[in-house]
Amino acid sequence: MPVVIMLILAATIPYEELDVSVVILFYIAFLSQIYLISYHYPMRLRQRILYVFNHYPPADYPKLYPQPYDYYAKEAQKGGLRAFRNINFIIIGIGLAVLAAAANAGYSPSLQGGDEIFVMAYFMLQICPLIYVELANAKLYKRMREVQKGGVRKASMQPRHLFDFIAPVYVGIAGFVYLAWLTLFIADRGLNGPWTGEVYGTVFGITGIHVFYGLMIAKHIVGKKVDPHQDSEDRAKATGFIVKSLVFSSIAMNLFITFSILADRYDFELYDPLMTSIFVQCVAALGIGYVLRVSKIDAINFNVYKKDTASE
Amino acid sequence: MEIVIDINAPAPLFTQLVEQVKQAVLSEKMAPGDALPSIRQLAADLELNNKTVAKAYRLLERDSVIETKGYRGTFIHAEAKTNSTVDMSTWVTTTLTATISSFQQAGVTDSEIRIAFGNIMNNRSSKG
Repeated sequence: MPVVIMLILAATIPYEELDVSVVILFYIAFLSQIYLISYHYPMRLRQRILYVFNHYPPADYPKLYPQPYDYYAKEAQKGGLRAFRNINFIIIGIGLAVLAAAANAGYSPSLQGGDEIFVMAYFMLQICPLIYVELANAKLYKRMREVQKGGVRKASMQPRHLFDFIAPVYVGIAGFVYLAWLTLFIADRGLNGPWTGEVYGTVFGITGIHVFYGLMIAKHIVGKKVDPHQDSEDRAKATGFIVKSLVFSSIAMNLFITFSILADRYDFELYDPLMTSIFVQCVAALGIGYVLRVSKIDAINFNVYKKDTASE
Repeated sequence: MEIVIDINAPAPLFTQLVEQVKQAVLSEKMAPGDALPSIRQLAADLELNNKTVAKAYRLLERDSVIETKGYRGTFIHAEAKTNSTVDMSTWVTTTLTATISSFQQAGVTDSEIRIAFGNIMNNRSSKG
């Protein structure tokens, strides 16, 4: 929502007030980026983890906790979560300090562009704690699978296809915006000069990201079960969230890089840092934000993690 | 419908798969025309080798319990319910028992039966 408001504001700025307003909008966008990615989502994620610990304890749901019981002692859990919160607070501090220093020095985005690299670098720093949580999650599932080796295994006899999880129109839009970017990029860079390493790098880099997205989608649809105990219905829902999230992220990425080309061509690089900040917020909203919003913890079948699964 | 495989059970994994699909057809949990997951999907979900699931599908297809329609996938056969009642291994055991009994009545020794059976099977596999 703040992103939409900012876009509307940007479009309604009178030309003579453009420079000052873009600077103000950039500061608002950057503040929103700090709040959303380093406070709002991490705190919601933390609350969600705490909720699972408190409502589904190791004594009643042993399959959810493949490590020995002591590993999940209350203090140990809280220590990890405290560190996660503190790291995010440090990142918030860095962001606010950078913003304060920039405001103090009377910073305004360069007309030649290039400032967006700092926004992107800060975003990379912001997602480090989230990546750490994701890696810890992957480690937990790996341990669950190791413990699960042997014994009973279950599978749904329902075939899974891409369009069971997302409407074809969104996949079509993702394909269309990718091709639109590729055409525009080649027309802008490839046809106006020699195919340098940068041109090849961009084409293969962006195409590579899309191939990676495609492989991730395929892995979630027909690949191995990440959580060996997960209920079939929950797995289908989780796959749906991930597929939608990746397809929407692909659309957002193509729109952003298309904007970057247009900004270069029509000399409005002034907007680059603002648009980069909006873009990274969209990526966060479509990734973690979307999953947190639609995947309700109470709707997950935790009975599968009990010693004697009631759902069986 | 969910399929359950017990890795520690004495029955081979592909047999467990075949039997459960047949049971699902007989109990009408799966109906003619229902789509089945791809070999790769089922193997990944059950953490089995693709060849194990492929073998189970091959046996089900031989028994006309399932049918493969090219790239469209694998489906439950129209006559699956009737065909699921046919137990090939029981039929083979019954037929062989009757044949061996008739040989024994004619005075053929057990070792002669074994050698002849072994030769026939060896010739078949070398031709195949």
